[in-house]
This record gives sequence, structure tokens and C-alpha cells, in this order.
Amino acid sequence: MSDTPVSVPSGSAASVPDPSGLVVVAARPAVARARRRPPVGVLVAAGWLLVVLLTALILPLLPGCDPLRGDFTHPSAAPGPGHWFGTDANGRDLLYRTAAGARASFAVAALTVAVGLLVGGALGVAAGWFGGWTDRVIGFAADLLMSVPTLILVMIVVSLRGPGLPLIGCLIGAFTVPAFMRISRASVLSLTERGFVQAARMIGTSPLRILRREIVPHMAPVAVTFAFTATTIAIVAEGALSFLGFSLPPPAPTWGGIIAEGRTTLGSAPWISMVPATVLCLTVLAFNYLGEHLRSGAPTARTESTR
Amino acid sequence: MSARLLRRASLRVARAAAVLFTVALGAAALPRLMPGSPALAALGPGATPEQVAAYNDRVGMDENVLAALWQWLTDAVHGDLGRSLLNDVPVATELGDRIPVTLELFLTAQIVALAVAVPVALRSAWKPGGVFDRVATTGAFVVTAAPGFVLGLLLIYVAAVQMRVLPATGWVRFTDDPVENLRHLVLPALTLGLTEAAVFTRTLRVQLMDTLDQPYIAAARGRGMSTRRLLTRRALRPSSLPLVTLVGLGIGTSLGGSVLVETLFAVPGIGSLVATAIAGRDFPVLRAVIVVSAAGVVAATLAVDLLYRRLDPRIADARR
Amino acid sequence: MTPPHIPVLDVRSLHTHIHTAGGPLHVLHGVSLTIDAGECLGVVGESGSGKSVLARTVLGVHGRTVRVENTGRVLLHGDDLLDIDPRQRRRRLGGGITMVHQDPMTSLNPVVRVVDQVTESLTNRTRMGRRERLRVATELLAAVDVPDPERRARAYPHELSGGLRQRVGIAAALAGDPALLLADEPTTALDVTVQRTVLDLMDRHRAARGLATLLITHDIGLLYGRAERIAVMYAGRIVETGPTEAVTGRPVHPYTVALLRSVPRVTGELRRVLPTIPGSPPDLALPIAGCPFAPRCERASAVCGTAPPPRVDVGEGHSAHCHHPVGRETTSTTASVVVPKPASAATGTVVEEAAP
Repeated sequence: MSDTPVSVPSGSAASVPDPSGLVVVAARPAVARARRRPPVGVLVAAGWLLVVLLTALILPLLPGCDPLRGDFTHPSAAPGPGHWFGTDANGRDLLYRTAAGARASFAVAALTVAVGLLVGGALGVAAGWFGGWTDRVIGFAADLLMSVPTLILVMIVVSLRGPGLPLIGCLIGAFTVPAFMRISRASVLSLTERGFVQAARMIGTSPLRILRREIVPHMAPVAVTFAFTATTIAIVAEGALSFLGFSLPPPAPTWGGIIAEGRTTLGSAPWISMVPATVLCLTVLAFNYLGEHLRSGAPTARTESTR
Repeated sequence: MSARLLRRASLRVARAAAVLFTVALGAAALPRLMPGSPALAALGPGATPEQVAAYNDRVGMDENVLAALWQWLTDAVHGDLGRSLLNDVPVATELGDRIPVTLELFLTAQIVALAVAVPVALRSAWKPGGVFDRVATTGAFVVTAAPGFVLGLLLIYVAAVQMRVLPATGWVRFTDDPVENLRHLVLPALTLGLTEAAVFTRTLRVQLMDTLDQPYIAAARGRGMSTRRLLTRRALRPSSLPLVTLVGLGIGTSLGGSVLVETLFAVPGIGSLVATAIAGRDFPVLRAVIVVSAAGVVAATLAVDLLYRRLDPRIADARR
Repeated sequence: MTPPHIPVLDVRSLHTHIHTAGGPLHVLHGVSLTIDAGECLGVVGESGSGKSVLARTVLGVHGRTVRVENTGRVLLHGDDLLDIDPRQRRRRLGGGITMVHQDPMTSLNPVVRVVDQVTESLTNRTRMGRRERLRVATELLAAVDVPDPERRARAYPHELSGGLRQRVGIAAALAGDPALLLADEPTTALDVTVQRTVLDLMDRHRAARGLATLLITHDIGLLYGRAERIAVMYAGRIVETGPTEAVTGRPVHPYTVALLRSVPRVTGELRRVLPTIPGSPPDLALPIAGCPFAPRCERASAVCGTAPPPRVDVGEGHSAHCHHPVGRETTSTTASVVVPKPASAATGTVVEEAAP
């Protein structure tokens, strides 16, 4: 998925061709069912995310947990007592570095989802509501965004404007806009077709009220589900960018950056790359799993096979 | 029929042309995105006004964007895409050199992905919930969670560092040594292909399960068709539309992926060219790559549309 | 002694369970029937009565994810289809048994040309060249009265009208020169105007080829003059069976009576409102102690809820399973005052206890 960082939600490939109203209908009872008895997988996934999040928030604040301080007596130490996750070539503790790297990843992901959800959602509602030329112009803009090599463009802009998490988050977010847009547009259109919106308009409900009472609740389940996919897209894209050296500059820890640093010592100290790589993969896996669970009401393997 | 079809087709082409034009315009404006003077940043503070003017001329900063774009487009039509700022090689030559490498990598990856995904999805969808299906679904789910650079690193670790059977990085041209070319191809192609295979499998499986529940499949079984024939001759084609979309989109996004994989495996294709160009602010190269890549996406979209019509005759008729 | 007569299809006390997430459904409950060459047996019942399951069980093709368990025997020319290995069984499909499906819109593959679907029964067993396939398909389509058959053979299903598609479905069924044709509501999805011609077409081929036919329908009126015999199904059981004239003229089972009452007639008094049968068929997941029709039956008594109804033979191969067969009472005919009485009070003879 690294090669398609922001254009297509490949994790949700099944619903890509048509994120229509049908998906919404399917998603609702699923959410209700999930609430009753969360399966073990969901608890594990949510638990993992909680652990990573809390570690990322708290650990770098603790004294003696500086991700930048090198323990020169133990360079490239294997995981063990003292350094649970081992140390890198400069003797910096990998647990602290990975925890600090999670901050960058989560910050970018949060920004991505916010930008995608707000901008994409608003544009989609506008396109579906006004139709006609508004729809066409917005659709053209989405086409445009999908036809440029996203990762490369982000790299170019970052290299020209200088690295920074807000910029990266907004850029990746911008590239998830088309997908969010299509979801909200389809949602508005399906409501319009079913006459809800006309009926509300006819009895004189204000557009804002219709938006709040009808449209937003209707699109929320699909949009939230896709937000999980967007989160993984952002984490993977940030990882790719920092791996290539287009995120925060070196001493600052990022997952991709640490993985890249470990490449040269893959033979002698594989843990330098593997620790952040494993955390990254497990985090993406957990987000995917939760998103999948929301989408279908149960983990992939089982739901998709019942019919 | 044909008048409407023609109108539709021309609308599509016009839209594609508009997209391409806008992308080219954006690419032409890239140097202006840089704060300050790109010329001074590139040439150093001691640059003479003549040097600055020459630089601005090469990156199209000395006139307005539209004029620069027009100049570039007319040159491009004559096969002149400008020269690289880094090594002064004509961009067209550089692209001609590197596109075959990236294309070989990309096509091999697609073949790997389809060769894995189609049989796995067929078998998985035939007995959903069975042991094979559960293993395959879980496997695909896990693989999708591994970004390309992690998967690639893992492959290097296993095949090159631990087992020492394949070269970790580097490239040998097919024309120089076919065997070495293949040996260098395996890991990067697997990296790109396995991730795609997982996505393809998931998509195809879902669609296949829907198809296999259709009455016409039961009807074919009722005429004594073997399972193998049923799956490959009757179920695969009506299930393949989303897969075709994915493969088409893959062409568009492949460039981003090739930057990662080619950097990781030191493959001298378009991707590593882009990585160098970005680092060196080589605007003529970047501009050409962006436009060529967008043209690839546009062409792929049109090709997907055409393929849709061939795969499902109803689409061609319904859109009449 | 003459050799024993072997019917084309001989089903003997077939029980079928379908396993669902909510537990097994007992969808066929001791079904027995026979069909001779050239004969048409009409199977009538509401949706959910098990008539389609019956056809699919005989064919041996259920939905891909449906888990089925059968007991009893399904004999095709004396060979038990439930007993032979799947490969042997598949060999009989297309050749020995074929099926005409309900909806020609969904039972033809939309992306496969008509020629390849019509010749499927043959190409599944032998290789055929392109030209050969087209020739055979054209012949088959001509035989089912498809105009301009060669052009139609090259077409895709969506390019044909509903009536033509069902003719294609019939041609595909006839391609392998089968002995037994299962027709599952072959005209339900068609326009009324083409229903008759499609049925006539099937009749013509049945006569010409000596085809044994199982014609499934929910419309008992459709069977007049077409089916030699009728089997009325309810809740997975055959509740009444016999020659068409006998079953439609002198129905014995209250359910058959109700079915016949809901058929519009051209002769006789004009009824503004066709009577319907109140209630709905029983839940097959639950065991049924007595007669499955009892809750909806206007003649039901206490015994109907507890004891399985006995088989009542009323002559000439006409029989039913009922505690209170119609027209066999000694006392009142008014439904509301029917009192429980022993089955022997009926003029028909009780031959045996009904199937469990």
C-alpha cells in the first residue's frame, strides 16, 4: 500500500467502485451489533492502539526517556534488559525513539483525517446539493487530484517549502479529499433520491438543519469507516516520506526515518529497522481491522464468508 | 447510436485533455512554489545576473506561466523536454533510458500480483469460510498492512542478508545479462507485486462470491460444468471489472511506488530519477515526469473504460 | 414374467435437510414420486413448499454455500443419484437430467454469448470447434422457434427479449438430449402473452423426444391439459397426488381445494374477489406433530394437530394425506361443525400410516 499512499483507499478495495448508500444501510446494524459484544480481535486491536497512543503521549515526557540521548556504552545493543527494544548505532534507545516517532505519525494522521473529512465532506455535500456546474467543477478538481502522482507531489512540495508535520498532514489530507468527497456526495444524492431532502425542504426546514439532521447522520457511518482507511493511508505515507528523508530532518525520530537508518546494519543489527517496522505494521493492521469491523459488523474473514 | 457514442467519447477525450493541460500548468508553476529565488538557492549567493537569467530561462521563470507552458508544450511536441539542471542531459534521453527499467519492474509486478491473486481468489471464493479461504483472507489482510518499504526491507533481510541467494540492490540491464537482470528483478518485483496481490485478492474474492451466487452459475453447474471450468470460464470474467479498475489505477499510482522501491533497491528507473531530481531541485525533469505520469493515468482511465465494454457487453449498450 | 417397469425418475421417501445458521430446516419430508418417459408431472405449491428444493435435489445442484443432507432414494433409470460419486453424477447433468430455470434474465450468463451457453451441455463433455458450436446452436435455436437463429446465437443474452431468452434456456436444456427435464416455474417471469407459447414448445419437445418432465408451478391452472398427473406440495410434503382430471375435478385434500378456489375460471359463476388462503406455511425449523396444513385448514380438528394424517386412497392412483378428506364425510359438510372422527369414516380406504 505504500505505493498508493493517498489516492485510493486500497484497504477498502471492495467498496471503492461505488461507496453508495447501500453501504450505509449495511453499516448501521453492524455498528449496533458491534456494540453488544465486541469480539476478541476488536479488543486486541483497540488495546494495541491505546498502548501505542499512551506510550507516544507519556513516554517522551518522562525523565531519562530522551529519544535523542545516546548511550555510548551500548551502541547497536540487541533488545534486552536496560534497553528493551535495543539501541541504534548511536546508542539511542529504540523504544523511546519509536514512541517519539509515533507522535509524528499520529499527528500527521489526525491532520489528514481532519482535512479530508472537513474539506472532502463539505465539497461532496456541495456537489451533491447544488449539482450542475458546481458538481462538474468539483468533480473535475477531484479528477485532477487523482491524476497526479501523489507521493511525488508531496515530496516536491515538502522539499521546496521545508519539512514540517502540519504541511505534510495537510498535503496527505488534500489527497484523501476526493475519496471523502465521493462518499458524502453519494450520501447526499441517495437521500435526495429517496425524497428525504425534498420533503424537508418542502416543509420549510432550513438547509443547515437538513444538513445537521439528515445528511450528516446518514453519511457518518461510511465516512467514519473511511476515516480509518485514511488514517492508515496517512501513517503509511508519512512512513514512506520519512523513509525517503522528506519528513522531519534526522535527529528527530520518525518511524520511516528509523527504519531507513537501520538499513545499513540490517545484517548485524536488524532490530533497528524491525522494531519501528513491526510497530508500524501492527498499528496499520489494527486500524484496518477496526475499520473492517465497522464496515461489516465482524472481522473480515468471517463476515465475507457467511454469504 | 454512433452519434451519441461519438459525443460521449469526444466529451471524455476533452475532459482528459483538460486534466492534462491543468496538470501541465501546475507543473510549469512548480519553481514558483519555492520561497525566495530558486536561482539564487541553486546557484549560490554569488551568482551573476547572467547566470540567474540563464537559470530562470531554463526553468521557465522569466515569463508568465502560460507563456512558459506554451513554450514547453511546443518544444515537447518536437520531442524536446528540456535539459536536466543536474547533468545537462536532455530530459527526453533520460526518460527514454529509464522508462524501460520502470516498465519492466511494473509489468513483472502486475504479472506476479495477478498470478497470485486470481487463483487464490478463485479457490477462496469457491469455499468461503473454508481453511484455505481463512488462511488466504488473513494473509492478504496482513500483507496489506505492510507498506512497500517495510515489505521490501523484509525481503532483503530474508533473501539477501540471511539466505544470500539474491542481490539486495543494484540493477543489470536485460540486454547486458538476462540472467542477472532477472536475479535483480525478483526482490523489487515481489515487493511491488505482493502488496498488489493482496489488494487484488481481496477485491476479486468479494466480487467472485457475488457472481458465484448468481443463478446463471447454478444453471451452468446444472449442465454438468466442472468446477474448474465454471470458475475460469464463467465466473471470472463477470467478476473482473473492479480488478480492471484497480490495475488501471495502479498504473497511475505506480510512480509513487516506484520511487520507494527503486530507492530501496537502487534500481535506475524513473522512480530513482525522481528522487534525485527532487533532492537536486531539477525542475525540468520533475515537470516532464509529472506530465508524462498524468498522461499515463489519463490513458489508463480511458483504457479501463474500453476494457469494461469488452468485458461486459451490457455496459456498452446501457450507455448508448 | 415381463421385466419390471423402470420409470425415468423414481423418488422414494426423500427427506432433505438444509443446514442454516439457525439450525436445520426439514425442507423435504418423505417425498415419493415417479415420472415415465414422455410423461409430465406437475408439482404445485406455494413458495416455500419445497417444490424448487425438490428440483434442485434431483439435479443435485444447490446454492454454493448451502449445506444439504438427503436420505431416501432418487433413482434415474434405476441408478440412485444420491449414492453415486459426484463425478459420475455430474456426467449425468446436461445429458440425463437438465433444468429450465425460473428467470431467464438471471439464469443466463450476461457476458457469455448465447452460442456458448446453449452448447454447454455438449462442450462440457467433448471438445467442439467454433464452427461446430455455432452450427449446433443454430439448429437448437431453430428447434425452439427462435427466429433468425444464427444471428441470435452470436448475440449476448441482454440483446434478446424475455421470451427469446427462455427459449434459449430451453434450447440449452435440450442440447444434451436429456431423458428428464426439470422445469422450475419456467414461465413465471415471462409476459402472459408468451407464457403459453413457451409451455406449448416444451410440450412439443416432450412428445417428440419422449422426455420425462417435472413441471413446477405455483399456478395449478397452468397444468390443465399439460400434465398427466399432479402432485400438490405443502411444507415439504406431497399432500395430494393423482391424475390431473381427478385432482382438479375431485380434490380430496382441503389445501388442494383452497388452491383450486383461488384459480380464476372462465366458466361458472363470476366471482368478484378470488378467495385467498389465510395464514402462511409453517416454520420448517420446528417439528410438526400432526398435519402441517392444520393451522390454516377450515376443516381441522383436534386430531390434526397431534397425529400425522393418514394416506387416503381414492382410486386410479389418486391419494392424499388427510384426516378429513373432502367429499368423503358421512355427516355434515359445513366446515365449522366438523367433529373429530376416525379416519375410517371416510369412504376412501386408509392404506397405511402417513409418512412420519
